[in-house]
Parts: sequence; structure tokens; C-alpha cells
Amino acid sequence: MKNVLKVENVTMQFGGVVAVDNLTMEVNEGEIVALIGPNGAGKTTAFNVITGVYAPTNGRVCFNEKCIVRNHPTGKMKKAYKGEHPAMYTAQLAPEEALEDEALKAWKEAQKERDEDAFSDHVLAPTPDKITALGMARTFQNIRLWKSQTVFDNVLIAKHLRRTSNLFTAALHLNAKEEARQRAEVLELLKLVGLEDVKDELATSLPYGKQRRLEIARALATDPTLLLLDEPAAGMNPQETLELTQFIGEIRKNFHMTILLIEHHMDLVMDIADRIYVLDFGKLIAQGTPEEIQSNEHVIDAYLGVVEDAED
Amino acid sequence: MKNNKKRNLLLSLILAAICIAFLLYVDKFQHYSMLATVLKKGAIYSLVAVSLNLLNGFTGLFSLGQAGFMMIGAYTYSILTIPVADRAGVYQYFDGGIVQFCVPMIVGLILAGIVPAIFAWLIGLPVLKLKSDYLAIATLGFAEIMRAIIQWKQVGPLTNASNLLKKFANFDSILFPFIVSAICIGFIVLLINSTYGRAFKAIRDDEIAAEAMGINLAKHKMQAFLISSFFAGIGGALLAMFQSSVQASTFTSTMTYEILLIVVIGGIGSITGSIIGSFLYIACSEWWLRFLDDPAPYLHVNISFMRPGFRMLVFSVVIMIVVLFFRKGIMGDREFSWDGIFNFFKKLCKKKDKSAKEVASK
Repeated sequence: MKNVLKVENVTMQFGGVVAVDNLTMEVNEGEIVALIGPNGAGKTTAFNVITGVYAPTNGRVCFNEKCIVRNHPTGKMKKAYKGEHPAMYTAQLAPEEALEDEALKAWKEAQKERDEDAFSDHVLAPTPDKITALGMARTFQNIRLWKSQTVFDNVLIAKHLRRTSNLFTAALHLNAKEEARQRAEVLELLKLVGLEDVKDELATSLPYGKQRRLEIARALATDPTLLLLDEPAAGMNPQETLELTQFIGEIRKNFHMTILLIEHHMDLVMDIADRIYVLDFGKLIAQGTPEEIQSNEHVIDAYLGVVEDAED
Repeated sequence: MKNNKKRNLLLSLILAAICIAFLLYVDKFQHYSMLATVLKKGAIYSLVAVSLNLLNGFTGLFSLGQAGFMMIGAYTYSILTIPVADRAGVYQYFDGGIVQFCVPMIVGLILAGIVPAIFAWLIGLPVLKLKSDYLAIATLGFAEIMRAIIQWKQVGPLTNASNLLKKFANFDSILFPFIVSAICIGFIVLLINSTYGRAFKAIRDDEIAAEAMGINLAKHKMQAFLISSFFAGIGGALLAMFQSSVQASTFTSTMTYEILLIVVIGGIGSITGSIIGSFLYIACSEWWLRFLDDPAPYLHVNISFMRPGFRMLVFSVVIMIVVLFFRKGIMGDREFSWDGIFNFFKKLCKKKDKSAKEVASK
């Protein structure tokens, strides 16, 4: 199975608050992985680090076996952030000859293959649009549609990054072929997600459930290989949640999409997730299949509560 | 649907023909009238207002540097197109100045766009990272600084310091500013309807979502800023020709506010609104409200408060009314379309029918 996303030793510190503390996780191709945890556990912060909104204080994010975000603290901070791979920092500190340990050498070579600058202090912090262009698209916890645009235009604008025209050829309408192709693709996509009949309405005039659907469609329009959904079922009633569960399943099937999602609706998570990561106070407290998570004592203590509570 | 398209095209052609015929008539028979002045200045202000609207209305960047870019454009054009023979007279305090060549009018006009765009790129690098009010303050400051620099004695050989620049290449027909403005506004309209225009609107509506969907904020904001200042520069050059002289002290921040006002009255985010707004504004300020400045007895009653400057007072009241009660301006964010006009009349007829029926039923 191909590794799509790998988050290594990511720490995100805002002043004295450590929002994400040494998080390591991975998502494989075709999987649906859920990130759960109580409010304020750092789930959305983790999303923001992965998508480039924040540059992490420490750690690395790899996408499709290529490093896309990296930060190595220097000086005193190295000790504080040495994470799960102390070898990384000893390798960084020690001169080449001092490396006698064969295993360490091999490990270092493997690191270098994936990320040439793995052992330098070079910081890699691209803006979110660059990461989206690599094939990672997200939705937002509080819906962020373009309010003055129609449903169709909302999805069409997301196609902007796949253009080949420049400002002048676009303004002089020399890209008519590309424009027509993109419009056809958008129409096709809207048909697939069931928003075709409302395509000319304003995005904000849609009911809540459909706005969520539109946001997912907009993310899909950027041709991603990994879809990140930030609480897609927030504020939905059980009926809408059920529909959304089916919808996410359909997306995975129709688009061969790998999905990472944050969610509080446990029935949805347990239903569709292949693997679950549980965060609490920024730390990873458990990981595993839904069954393992449901019976994990730490998780029950921190988040799920006792079984009687979980059922209602 | 297709019938409508044909009808709209026909109506547009008829309207354009009427406009051109009207302009030709004014050009021939009323060349020096107030009407001609208003038409010329209105066309120039339309271009500048549309260029500001591209920034404020479509990209959501609140910039107040428009007068500064106009000034740079006006100076670029006039410095480059003064005939060499006349330079000694114009630059009388600076030994004829340092520029001793002259470029054709069209080249001067294009350079009048390019030079402000270069300045815009330079200040855009740091300034475009700012948001809303801060961007406005920074661009306003830039315009004021440029005005001071141009009037500086040390750059006199280039800009003639605070003295007038005159005798540069000029237009005669009132069609000229209309043609140039129409070409420039046409380009902006095409741009707004392209994929880039949609990206600009996305940045205006929600920056965070736009960036997450792969729109490079820095690049797109810079593009909008450059295009806006390019056309503001051309507008400035046209204004220089209209006044047939250039002086830095006329490009004050008041001019920026005038243009901003036109955009607000016309409707933020509407090209046709900006055009209608500028003709209305120029007609009011230059012509229709002139009588307010006239202290002469009016209807045999001597009104003591009618004196030079009273016009501006009335004007500011009008502005306050617009801002308080008609915040969307004349057009809101809609554009002029024949379908819109027909629908409007259809609705009006239906309403009349309804009320007539109601009266009948009673």
C-alpha cells in the first residue's frame, strides 16, 4: 500500500500553548482515516499544519513520499523537540566520520532519499495554495464558500489552479477550449454530487447540508489525491449525517480518494473509518481500528466516556 | 434564448451608433460647450473609476493610491511628449530639462501606463501584505510622498518641480478619450469575466478559502494592483491632455476621494455603475450644480448663502444621503443588461395590472 500522507514529530506551539505535541501519523492510499478527540485537542491545528496554514514549530509532513513541510528548531530548542527520532538530531549534530553505526547510516540514507535537506536547518513552509496544487484539498469547520458566487462558479473557481492560460490569454479569451473543458468537468462533478439542479443559485441560499456537499465538491474540483474534511457533519441532524456518511463512501469509490477527516459524530466515524487516531491535549493517546479504539481505556477516559453515555 | 441574444446584440449596436452620432454632433457643433467638457472629463474619470473598482470592488483591496498613479502617468506622458523645440520654454528654470527627446503620442500613452505599474510593483511587494484600512493608509501615503517628490527642486530637470508642464502632444476630437477609455474598460471587462476575474472575486469573498483552493494570494493581488495602476496611469495621461497642462499640486488625495465616491455612488463591484457614476458626478460638479456657487440674485431673491464653495456643501450632503440610505449605489453589484431592463419593465407592467385588477375587484 502506498503511503500518501506522513506526519512526523509535528509540534505546533503558540507561545506557551502546545496545540499539537509531537504528532506522528500516516495515511495510506485508499484509506479513510479519522482524527478524533475532545474540543481543543489540536485536531484542526494539525490540519492547518498539514495544509500549510501554519508552519510547524518542529517536525515534517511528507505527501506522496515527498517532504512538503519541514522545520527543524536550532540551538537549545533541539533538545526540547527531539521527538521520537533522537537519531535524527544526533545524525544532524555528529560529523560524517563519527557515524559508525550501520543501522543509523542506513536510516539516514533512507531519510535523504525522501528529503534531500532532511538534515539541514532549511525550513520548508510553502503557502497553502502550493500544497493544494500538489493534490491535497480541504474543507473548513465553519463553511467557507464564496458568498457572492453561484454554486457553479464556486466549483469553477476551484479549477483555476489547473489552468494553463496566463492573464493575457485568459483576458483575451484565447483559452476558450480550456474554459469549455473546465466548465464541462464542473458540470459533470455537480451531477455526481447531486447539485446539478441548483447550479445557478447563490451558494449561500442552499440548505446547510447542501452547502457542506458543495464545499466537498469544490475541494474535489482541484483534482486532489487526498481529501481533508474538517468536521463535515458539524451541525447536522442524524438524517443528514447518515446521508453524508453515504456520500463520503461514494466519493471514496467514485474518485478513488484517500480521506482524512476530523469528526465528533462517533457513529459516522465508527461506520466509515478504517483507522482512527485519537488526540487529547495535543498528544496522540491512541491509534488503531474502530474496534480497538472503542475498547481503549485511555480513549474512553478522555473522550468517549463510559459505554452507557456513548449510546445515547 | 437565441432570439434574445440577437435582439440584445441589435439593441447594443443601435445604442452604440446613437452614442457615436451624438458624440460626433457634439464634436462638430458644440466643441467648446460645457457639454463637451463634461463628456470628455466623464470618459476619463470612467476609466479611472473602473480601474479603482477592479481593486476595491472585485479584488477586495482597499487602495487609496489612485491619484498618485494618475499623477505618475500624467507626468510620464507629458515629460516624454513635449516637442524638443518647446522644452527650453517649458523648463525655463532648469535649462530646458534633462530629457531631450520626444516620443510619439501612442508610445507616450502606453508608457504612461507602464511606469505607474512599475511603481505599483515596487510598493506592492511590501504593501500588499497589509489588509483593509492599513493598505488604504499605506497607498494614500505613497501617493502623497510621490506628490512631494515630484515637486522637489532637485528633480526639477526631470519634472519641472512645482512649475507647470505644458505644450505636450494633445488630442483635438472629443472622441479620443472615449476611444482610449473604451478600449481600456473593454480589456478590464474581459479580464473580470475570465478565470482570473473569478479568482479575484474569490479573494474578495474569502481569502482563506481562496488560498486553500490553490489561488496564490500574493500573485493575484499583485496582478490586480498592477493592472489597476496601469489603467490609472493612462487615465492620468488623458486627464493631462484634457487640462493641457500638468501640475503635481492638482493630484491631491481629494482626487482619490472623488474617484472613490464615483465608485461608491455607481455601486462597488459594477463596471457600468462606475461609468454611469462618473458621468453623473462630473456633470453635477462641473455643470448642473454650478448655479449654487452663483451669488447673483436668483428669481429676484438674493440668497445670501449661495456663494463660491456652497456647491461642495450641497454635494457632501448628497454623499451622506447616498452612504446612509443607498449604500449599494446605483447599480449595486449588478451590471447593465438588456434582459435586466426588459424584466424591470415587465415587472412594472405586472404590478400595474395587479393594482388595476385590485381596484376593479373592489
